[in-house]
Amino acid sequence: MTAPVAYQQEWDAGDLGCGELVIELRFRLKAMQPGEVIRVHATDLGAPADLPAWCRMTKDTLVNHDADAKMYYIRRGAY
Amino acid sequence: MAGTGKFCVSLTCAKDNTDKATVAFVVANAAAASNQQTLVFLSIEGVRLSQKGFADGIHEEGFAALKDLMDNFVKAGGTIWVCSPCFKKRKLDENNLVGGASIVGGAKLVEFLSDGTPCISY
Repeated sequence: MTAPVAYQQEWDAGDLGCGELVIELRFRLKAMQPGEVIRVHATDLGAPADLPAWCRMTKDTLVNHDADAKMYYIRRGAY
Repeated sequence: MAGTGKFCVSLTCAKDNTDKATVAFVVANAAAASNQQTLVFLSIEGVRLSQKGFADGIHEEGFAALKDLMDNFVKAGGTIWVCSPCFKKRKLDENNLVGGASIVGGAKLVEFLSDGTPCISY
């Protein structure tokens, strides 16, 4: 069983997807401190493919993805 | 000049322009047959081709049937990505996807292209 991930912010993105999801996530992460974690609930069908790809490009880190709960734990990068 | 070894075909049409839909997969097959890691990105009306049976009966004169072109593309190792918001807007069935297809958002496409991979659009 995966250990719980501590997080400082959370956001229910609902069914937002594609560019709408990641631009809002971009704004929220930029408002956080490097190293902080946001827990995102995202139900869009494309999110499981998109958010890992997006994190690879932005240098944020997808710490954990709970596929059943549609929860993503993302650590803000040092930028 | 060395390329990325990848190739993208962006397709926005289905039955609204069967000529474009067909030629897109002809070109995608050429890329896949040329040892390129080939992606067909379906968006706008093109997402309808992600549904099993939708391409049946589309057969442009002078070309193979679209279903055969799509089947051969996947058989050759090609990948089909389906635009998530376009799919959702049209209320299509995620449990009725053709082989090789998966639903993605824009970030996946951006990552695929961000190393300079070429993309041709229909």
